[in-house]
Amino acid sequence: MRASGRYDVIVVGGGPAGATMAWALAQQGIDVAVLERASFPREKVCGDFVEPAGLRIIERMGCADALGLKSRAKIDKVRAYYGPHIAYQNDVAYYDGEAGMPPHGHIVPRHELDTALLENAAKAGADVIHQALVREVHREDGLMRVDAKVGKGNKSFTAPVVVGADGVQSVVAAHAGLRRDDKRHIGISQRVYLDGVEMDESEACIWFDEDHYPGYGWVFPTGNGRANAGMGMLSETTERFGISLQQSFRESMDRLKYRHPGCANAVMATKPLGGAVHMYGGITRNHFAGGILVGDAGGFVDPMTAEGITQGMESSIIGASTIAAALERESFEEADFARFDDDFRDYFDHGMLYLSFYATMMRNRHFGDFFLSMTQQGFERAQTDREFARVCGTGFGGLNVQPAAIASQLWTGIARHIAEGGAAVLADLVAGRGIPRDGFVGDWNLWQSGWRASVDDDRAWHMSWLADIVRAAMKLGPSFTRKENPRLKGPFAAELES
Amino acid sequence: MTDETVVKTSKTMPAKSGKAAKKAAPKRVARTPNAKPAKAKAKAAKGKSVAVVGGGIAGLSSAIKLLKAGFEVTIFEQNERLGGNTSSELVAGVEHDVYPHMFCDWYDNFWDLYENDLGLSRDDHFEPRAGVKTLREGSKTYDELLNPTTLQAIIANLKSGSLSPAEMFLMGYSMVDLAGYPFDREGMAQLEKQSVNGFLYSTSYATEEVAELENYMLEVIWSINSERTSAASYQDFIRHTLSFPNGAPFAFMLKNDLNTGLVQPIADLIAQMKGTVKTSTEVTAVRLVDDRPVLHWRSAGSSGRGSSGGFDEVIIAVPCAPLTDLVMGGTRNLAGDRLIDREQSLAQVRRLSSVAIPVIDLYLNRKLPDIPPENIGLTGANYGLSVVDIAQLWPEGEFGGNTALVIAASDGEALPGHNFEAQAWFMLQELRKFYPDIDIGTKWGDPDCDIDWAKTHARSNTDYALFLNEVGGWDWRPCTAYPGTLPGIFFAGDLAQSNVDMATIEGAVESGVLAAAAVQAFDAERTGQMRGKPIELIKHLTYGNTALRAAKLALMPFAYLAKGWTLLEGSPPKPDLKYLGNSLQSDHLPLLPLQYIVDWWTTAYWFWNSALTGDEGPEKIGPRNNGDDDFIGLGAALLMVAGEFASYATEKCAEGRAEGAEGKSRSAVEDGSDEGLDGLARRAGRMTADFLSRTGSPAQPDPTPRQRRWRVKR
Repeated sequence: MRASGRYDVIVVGGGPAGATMAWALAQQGIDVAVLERASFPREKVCGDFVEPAGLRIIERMGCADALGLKSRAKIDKVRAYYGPHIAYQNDVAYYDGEAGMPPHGHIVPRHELDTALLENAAKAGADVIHQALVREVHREDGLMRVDAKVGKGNKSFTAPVVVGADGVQSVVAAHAGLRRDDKRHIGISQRVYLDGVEMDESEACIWFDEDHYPGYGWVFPTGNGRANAGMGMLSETTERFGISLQQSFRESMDRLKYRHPGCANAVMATKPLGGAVHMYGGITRNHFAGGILVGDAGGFVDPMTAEGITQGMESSIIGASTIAAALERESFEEADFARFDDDFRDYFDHGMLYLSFYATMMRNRHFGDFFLSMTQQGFERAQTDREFARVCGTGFGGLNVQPAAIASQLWTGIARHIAEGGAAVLADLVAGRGIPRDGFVGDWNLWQSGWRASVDDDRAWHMSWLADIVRAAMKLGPSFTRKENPRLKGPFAAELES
Repeated sequence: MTDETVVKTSKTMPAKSGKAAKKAAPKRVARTPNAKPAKAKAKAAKGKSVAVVGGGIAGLSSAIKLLKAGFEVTIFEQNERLGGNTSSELVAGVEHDVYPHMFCDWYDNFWDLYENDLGLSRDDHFEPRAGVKTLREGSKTYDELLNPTTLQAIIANLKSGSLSPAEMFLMGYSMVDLAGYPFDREGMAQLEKQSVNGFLYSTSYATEEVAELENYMLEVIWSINSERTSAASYQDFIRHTLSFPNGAPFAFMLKNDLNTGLVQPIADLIAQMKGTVKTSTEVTAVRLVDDRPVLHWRSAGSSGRGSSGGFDEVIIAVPCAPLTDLVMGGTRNLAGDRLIDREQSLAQVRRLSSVAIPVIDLYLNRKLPDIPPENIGLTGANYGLSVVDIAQLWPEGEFGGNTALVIAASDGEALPGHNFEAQAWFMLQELRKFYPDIDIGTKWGDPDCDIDWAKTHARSNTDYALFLNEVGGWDWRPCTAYPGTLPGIFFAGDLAQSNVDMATIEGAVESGVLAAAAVQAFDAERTGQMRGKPIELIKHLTYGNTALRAAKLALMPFAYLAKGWTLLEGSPPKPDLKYLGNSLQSDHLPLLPLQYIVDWWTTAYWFWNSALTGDEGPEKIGPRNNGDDDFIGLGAALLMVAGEFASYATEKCAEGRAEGAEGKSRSAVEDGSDEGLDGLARRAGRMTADFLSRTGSPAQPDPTPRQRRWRVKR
């Protein structure tokens, strides 16, 4: 930390997004400081799962060895429970090593991951200041001023550019008037570390329960009998239906012992912690005069799985080029940072808005039974139909979301389901056997009862939900105009292109 | 401020209402034994005394909202009891409601008042009624008209028998058409000052029967003919009512008399919040003295000088006749300006009209069999008679198992007879045409008949006239406030301009909430500080123009087919004046396709207009109040309607299956040909499945093992 507190760029927040931003800027010789509230290593509420696309970035940044990735268990299998039933237990079909990604993910506890990434940024030349609690952000005469409590004293930092990488409670976003509080796009979660876990360390496990809809639970082995276990739900739903996430979390952990044989003897090793994420569906604008927002602060979180480590790092690499260009021009008005919005939309909209569309549909808790049945059938189909599994992501949402391919797979599947079910119904009807209650008719009835329950419960909410679906569907243009998901090649490729 | 109000305000609560103030007050008194606290109170009270003239539901609504916000409110009511047109009268120990009221599901501000302010449960105190019944003279069976808020109800209505299905459909279609019609309610355009009847006449599909049914409904419910009703006002009502497919009942009925069930709880709440109520008090004049309202009042019926007092704000929530008196000012030479001196446009309130609906509460000595619990319209009856049996609605104890019919003469002006007793007798005679079983005796009060005269009560209701939504009337109705000319004076009541145009309880409550919000804003502007939480209207959720016009476009082919059907099916026009309208308008089948084309293009134009410019439309088209409702957009409306159709189809399938299963087992035994049908259907099903699986994804493995996956027990 230098006495003047004057830098080219100040990055507020030292998580994966902040560290990646600092690394990317320092690499280019830009004078950058990172203000981190905690002193590392520190705990962070997260599932700790780093998908192959994230590992690709970590390798590129040269942190693979520091994190000891080679010696960590390779996650390439997943098991999905629906209640007590295993709907899918197989490898993750699209982990095939394409576009320079490893064919597996890793579970890296966040206190290790974040520490290594931030140290790496410091090594690249960034000035990392720990225990710097940012109080306020101003803009004065075209210069950003960041007031922080550092250790026990107060200090002001100045720079033409400020990057908000300070998570959901972003002070920078509050300064820019870009704080998001739309509960439809906020996920809340609670997680704990378990000891005494005896599960296959290359297999992640997720589960879906009717009473915890919309949301899911996870247990991810971190090695040596330890695992990260937790569950997340949509904030709006918990509020509307008076659901306590803590209660749901406890129930989930109780069930886990019976559900997963590998967790029968598990005990909690840490205190359960809660957190929140802002998902991509609620994204608005992420630039302002004097800076940009990246990571959780900018809402770079998968709307289906609520993953955000990779997305956060990607948003930083994309944003770094906008900042470098602004520094080169020495112009820091709002228009100078507008390119970031174009860039990240170009990169993320294709897949994220498509996922957001599905997330919007699945937001209605009354349709829980229906959507659980549908996704369960999807998992079951993926068990045998590997092409479907590859395209649809099988539980890890996945980086390579291909809207057109998913849509064609899903809808032909659904159409066949309907046709077969309909034919069976006709046959049964004509034969005088009555209509079967399962299969297509069962799903239709689930949809039907969901619809009635939703309309009867709160018609106005139901209408607004339908309106949200329409709005989400209207944004699907980018998802279908491009054949390949830009995220497949990664943010560095995008950087090279631009 | 006069002495009287000073005394009053110092007695009531200090500025900050609620617990905080109550806790703080004794402490201050204890510390400063001199006169300071009283002064402080008086100072805090300054600027917040509100007079509400008229204790009807509008005035009471505004009073409750203002009391909650911390204002000091005095209500002036001319009658002994509060409630106005929602009051009841206690005669010989029996409560008699002024009118039998219906409370619609979409009365959001009324329900807010009832459930949130009064803390009462709608389910406990109201009974939903899916529709209304109608009875023809000489018939024993009732037709039913349901609120068209579900597909089931719509189909039941088409089959109801009130009109032929084709014309019933046209009736509904005319409502959808009117709801989305680009009227300019501001009334700037002379041509658009249309009556409902004129609107129907302008369409190419309406028939005489449709017009008659529309007229009948308006007459029974609002006591006004369709040729006098403003189409734009009625449009506003329809837009709120068209809540398909929410399954809303036609109305909720209060399971008690209005005083017990509604007005007394309001009065109790007002007393609890330390509001002052002056009943049997007639406000004789309102003046502005140095831009401050001054009220003059005396006890009702007296001719004394009475009292006067200044208030910071005055809400005038009275019917047409007293409103004219208060605005125009009376004869006495009082200090200050009359309202009309300041705001000349108010002279037009003299044009507003209202009508009294005579009502008889007919208590019988016996129980009439088979009287339905719904409101019953007596089709074709003179004087627009309608009936409802309150013995099936109110607490049973009052009735001893006997029937009690509330008979309202919506077309009361048609009643012959020079005094009300004679008129009431005419009403009973008309009633007997429909219910010949009721022995009404030979004259009013005849002891030897079915009527319990001790409890029966007839009234002309001349003091409780119903406001009429006449063509062009919007312009004459007072606004909530006239900030430029009438500081501190506000208007409420169903006749005041509000977001609900037609005279309804919701309109009255909304006008009250609007006036209260205006008082709060006025006070905040003067004191620089908002008193209490902001008073806000609750927005209704209605279909937007785009969705309504899309519905019209979608239904248009069926409407013209229905019209064509009525032309082909109906007997040739009789040489009767009654049919003149039809022969002038669209009774010539060859013209129908041309009219269809014109109608389609016009509607398509307005559809795109709203689709491109938004549901609220440019200011010139569509009612102004649109901005105060929330809209259901086209996409959501389509999904909603599609979902409801699917839901309905499923239900029908399930019913059909249940019936079919029974029928099948029998017919299969009797009829050998069933086998062939069976085989055919199976083959068709298999072919469809094969076709779809072939066109679907050729890379699929054999589907047999997967079939079991779908049968997972959950």
